[in-house]
Amino acid sequence: MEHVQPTPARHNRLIGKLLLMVAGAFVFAFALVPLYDVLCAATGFNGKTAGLGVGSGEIRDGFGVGGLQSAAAPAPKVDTGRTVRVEFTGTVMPGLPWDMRPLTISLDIHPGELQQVSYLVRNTSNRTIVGQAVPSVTPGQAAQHFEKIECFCFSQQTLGPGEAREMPLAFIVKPEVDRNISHITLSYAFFSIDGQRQTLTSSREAR
Amino acid sequence: MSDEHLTPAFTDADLAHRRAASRRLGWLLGAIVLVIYLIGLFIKR
Amino acid sequence: MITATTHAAEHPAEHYPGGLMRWLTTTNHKDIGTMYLTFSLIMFFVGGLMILAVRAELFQPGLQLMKPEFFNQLIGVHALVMIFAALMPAATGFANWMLPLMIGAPDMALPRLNNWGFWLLPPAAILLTLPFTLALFGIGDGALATGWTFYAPLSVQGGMGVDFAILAVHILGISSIMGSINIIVTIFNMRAPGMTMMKLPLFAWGWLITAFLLIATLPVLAGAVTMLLTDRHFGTHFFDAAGGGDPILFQHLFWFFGHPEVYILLLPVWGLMPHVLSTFSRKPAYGYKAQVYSFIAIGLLSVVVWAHHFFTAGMPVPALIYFMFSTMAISLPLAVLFFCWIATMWKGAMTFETPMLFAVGFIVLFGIAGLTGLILADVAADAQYHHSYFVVAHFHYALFAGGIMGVMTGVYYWLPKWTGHMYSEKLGKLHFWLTVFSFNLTFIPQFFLGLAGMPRRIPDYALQFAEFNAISTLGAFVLGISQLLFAWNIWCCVRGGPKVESRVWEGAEGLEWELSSPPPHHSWEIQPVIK
Repeated sequence: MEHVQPTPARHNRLIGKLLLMVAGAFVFAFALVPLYDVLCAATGFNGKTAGLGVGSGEIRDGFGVGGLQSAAAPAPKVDTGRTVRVEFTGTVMPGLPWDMRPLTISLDIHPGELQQVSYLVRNTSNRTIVGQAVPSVTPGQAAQHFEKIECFCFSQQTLGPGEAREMPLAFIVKPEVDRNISHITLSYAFFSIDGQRQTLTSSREAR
Repeated sequence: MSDEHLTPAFTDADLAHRRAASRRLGWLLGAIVLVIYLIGLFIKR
Repeated sequence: MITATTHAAEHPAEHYPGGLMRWLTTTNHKDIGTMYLTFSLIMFFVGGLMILAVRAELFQPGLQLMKPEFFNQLIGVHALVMIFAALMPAATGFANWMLPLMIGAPDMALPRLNNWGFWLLPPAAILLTLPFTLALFGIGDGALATGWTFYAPLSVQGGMGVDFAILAVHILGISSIMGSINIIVTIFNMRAPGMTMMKLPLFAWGWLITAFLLIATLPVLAGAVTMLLTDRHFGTHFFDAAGGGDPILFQHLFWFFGHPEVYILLLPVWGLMPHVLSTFSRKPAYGYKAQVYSFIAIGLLSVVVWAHHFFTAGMPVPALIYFMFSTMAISLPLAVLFFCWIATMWKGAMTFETPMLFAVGFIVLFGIAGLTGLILADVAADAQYHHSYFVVAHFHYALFAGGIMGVMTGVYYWLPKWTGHMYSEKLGKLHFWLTVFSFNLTFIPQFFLGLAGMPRRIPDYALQFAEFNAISTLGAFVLGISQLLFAWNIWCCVRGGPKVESRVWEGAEGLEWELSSPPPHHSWEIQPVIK
């Protein structure tokens, strides 16, 4: 056998430090998960909207507007000087046997107005299924000024066999929205809550 | 630089010639780049 | 520059096992280096065969040879094999062989870890390619079909090939991290007396930065694929929008590793270039300090620019601008390196042996990679180039012309030192010219295809792309076949050939050329002292 010299102590000290770096980098990967959420919520990046449920009285400013501060919402006043077209769309993700379509395709509104529209959602299967809608607003810069007052995406929705339901949505586009934005698209993706993964990974056509 | 082994094909005179050639090539390439750059200044899109 | 005052004492042959056991149990840096390089060469051909199948399918529009699913598997596994099993092991092989010789150490600092690090690779390579074989027997539906980037949600939904690839990436990552720790400890603690950090050969500097990048970023990839694994099997929702996760998060995690990975692949080659250029120009390397500082600057910048890989995924404008400018900033230290390489040749008595041909070819072609990279870094332009064949051509100029041709430079440069024999210059030069010609024949058309709008990773294409694709496929096959010359030349050189002396090349400087060719079993029994 070959003669291998015992590892000197200074090797061990250096190895210890390097292993610590490795562990630190691994932990950092997981630390990025909450960090990323905070950053997205703060900037509206990726269409994460400001109104995340009841009584959301905060404006979340973006990078360009002044960092991560939040302020009390001013009383919404209607900016009749301009109109913004809001378009509605929705998709059902694979593994959920539902249909969905917006009853209003698009709406011309003044920023600050409270508006209500609804989606028609129908269960095409013969069993009861629970679904959850996840909203996304494009462009991202508009997302932080798009406040949902009431939305079917705030809670899980249950549809019985063959049941169809109109699901309402009330929203305000805040007057602070950038003047350059003339079109806003609100898109919903409906996911199945129960057994979503099984349907996705077991059925061939779902891939 | 006084290694006498291997590549006996290159004499000192030969290597001196190559030094001069690489210097000339360097200037030539530099001039070509400069010309391309100058032409670029006059191209309007 | 560096001269040794003592030579290695002749060491009597020791008793060590022969045959297979020698390779399984070896802790000798040269044996392990040889195994790394052999493994790399084999996997280079495996990955090459995969992409030749892809190019054959793309020879004409329409689907002729394979199903789209199989096509997707081939491109993803090709990339993983070439990056993790061909390029990275080749660089590690160089480090194992050359670092102790260059810095005057008897061996690597951690020889047993070294052995383990290598022997993790073959199982990982098997894991990566096994699903192809299993699918032949009707088990599962083949290998990873997501492309090498594992993008969620596709990878969350994919078949068992994704699990195999995740496991393979874990093992490859552990192997690379062990290799990096070994290299850092060797460079920090095993240098010959008198060799300060600023007298360290540039190759060692390049590898030192690479090793630190690996340690800082590979664990992030390991974390990302671990999240993927738990999303797939243990009900977590890191990347699953239905559960509050976010698929874009995966892109951030992946490219936080993925961009430094490019420099991990290239830094060892950039470190090698000044050695070759200075040898064949018979001048010391120009701008030693400038090159060292450039390596460090590129290493630091590489971890803060990742999001330019997905500009089109949606980002706030300030973030776009930040990532654009920080990406472009990398071209500054890189330009310093280019000018140092060129200045090394300036007024030099240049001769064009095979390694020098490859080095000069590397500079020209890698320059194209750098310039096309600047175009891609531009946010406004990127919207058109993104996910097109322009990107494919760009990163092949970086990773084939920059990475693999750089490795070939090193192989031709050091092969006589390793074997004690001279390879065939004639075959080497033929290999170079064939490689350069066919490489450009393959990838120049892809720039045009990308500009015309042909998307990558799709097995079929519109009729207007037919001519360029046919040319590209032709080039790819010539390129693939001419690599057989490379393997044949190495094989012949290992088996025999004209004997070479310790200083193989006339202008070569450095400790490694003071030892005999091939070097003795233990490199520097008595450490040389650097004056």
